[in-house]
Amino acid sequence: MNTLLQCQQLSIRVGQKPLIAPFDWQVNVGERWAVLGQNGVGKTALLHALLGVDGRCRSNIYLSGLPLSELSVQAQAQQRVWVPQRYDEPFTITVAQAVHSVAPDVSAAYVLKQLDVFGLREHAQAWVHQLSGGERQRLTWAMAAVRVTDATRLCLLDEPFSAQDIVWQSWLLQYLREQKHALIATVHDLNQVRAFATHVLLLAEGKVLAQGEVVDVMRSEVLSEAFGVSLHIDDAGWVFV
Amino acid sequence: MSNPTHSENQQPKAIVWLWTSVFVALMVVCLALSVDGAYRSPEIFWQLRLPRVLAGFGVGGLLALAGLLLQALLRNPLAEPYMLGAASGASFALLIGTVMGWAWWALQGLAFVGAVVVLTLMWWLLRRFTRLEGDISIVLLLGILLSALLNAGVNVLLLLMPERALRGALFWMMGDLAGAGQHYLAWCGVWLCLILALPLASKISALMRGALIAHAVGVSVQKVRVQLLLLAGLATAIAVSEAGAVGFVGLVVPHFVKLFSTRRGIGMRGVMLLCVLWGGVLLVLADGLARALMAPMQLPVGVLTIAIGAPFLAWQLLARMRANPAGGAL
Repeated sequence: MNTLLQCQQLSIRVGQKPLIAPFDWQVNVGERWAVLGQNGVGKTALLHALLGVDGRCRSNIYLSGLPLSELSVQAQAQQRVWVPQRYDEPFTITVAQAVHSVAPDVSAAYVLKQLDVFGLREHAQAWVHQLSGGERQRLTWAMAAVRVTDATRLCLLDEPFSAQDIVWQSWLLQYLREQKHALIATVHDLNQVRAFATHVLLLAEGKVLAQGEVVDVMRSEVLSEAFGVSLHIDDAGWVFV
Repeated sequence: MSNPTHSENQQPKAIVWLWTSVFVALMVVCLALSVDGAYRSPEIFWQLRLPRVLAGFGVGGLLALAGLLLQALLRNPLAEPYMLGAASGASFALLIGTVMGWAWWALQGLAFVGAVVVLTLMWWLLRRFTRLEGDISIVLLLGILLSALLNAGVNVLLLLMPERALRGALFWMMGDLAGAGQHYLAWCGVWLCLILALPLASKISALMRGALIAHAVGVSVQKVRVQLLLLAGLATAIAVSEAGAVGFVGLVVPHFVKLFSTRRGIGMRGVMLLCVLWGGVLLVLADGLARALMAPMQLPVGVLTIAIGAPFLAWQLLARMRANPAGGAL
């Protein structure tokens, strides 16, 4: 089966307020989607809906052929990992324990290995609240990566590069390209899209303005309409105002 | 990424710390049972000393466990069992019974009912007004408001109360173990609550990282929240009906247990066990002091737990501030 995620007449609401008009969408195995749009257009709300948080649209979202409303939270979690936009830690806890608390079954050595991947190995015994913003964001990457198994089919990422310096950005983009599972990531930097994505979902004006392969959506007239400013794309594919 | 290897990662030293705590707790209980020659008179031992010491241990353990569960539920390291209004509800119900002149055993039952009614109300609020991705501190704020309301009612009842009943009521409201433990309610309750809490350990750990993160790793957040509220509520209700409002145990003990455990690789199950053991030991020691300090007069144990706990926690917080001036988590 090639279809991984299917949305049928999915509409996104926050409270009673409609954010995105009903739309159809299909994500296949091996695809990497970038979700684009202005601030507040509903990118995070869309990811939360895909996480099955909003009970009103669980029956419009199919994961591996079954609606979320018929899958248990555990069954969904086995197929799907998530990198949140924000992670606050009110408790005193070490970095290694934070990773462990979301994956209690893995070994301490495996936790360290994953922390190493994201440059956090020397911080394994540091307190989470003492990490810098970028380190804390990479901790959320590690908390997702440690849960990845052969059963994992989809990764959702909410502005996963927002606090990263340019070196880490390029490294993480490469990391995403190497993943076997499909992924859906919201991003703000339009120039990151070509670096990891195969497809783009473009949100604007309360609806899905365009969706499809990168070359079809990342055109200056489409992007200009979505963001309300004149955007240009040069021959190398760089987007600028 | 390869499939992670499943393995037991409890470090050996974590086990050592757990067993040491069990041993120390046993020693303290034995010491409290045998001090000042209570064992010489079987009647005093069986009818007064044993119930009181076990009740002290049970109440301390229940409050510490309830504090831990509520801190996880509210994601707030400063939450304590009485914040949801359980103690105020119990006090209010107990004082109504006192004004009506009911018997002592009926008052204890009434206190339990008072705590349960308040917690049921909070449970309904939790179900009705919180969403998975939303902030749950509304429950905390409503609990504080409800406590304030009930405390106002308590003050009115204290004014209406006959003079001779006033002293007993005041002792109870400050937290007192005199006459506690006749039915071993707290002693049995603490082990029951611990057994019920242990299977939730890994879900609680995930929930402490945040509701959405917990949801994403497969925890049924709303279900676990309700379980936590009911379990913490049960523990608090038992503790309150046994010993009144013993302050600070539910705040201080989980704080130090978590701090101690996080450096020694002790997991959430171990933290729960340590909360029960250390909370029990703290209250048994505090009750021993409460009996001895101004003998033959007895102090309410709640006064002592606050006298010990508040400066201790303040010292901890100040030390933390000095080490990390930018502040940070508790």
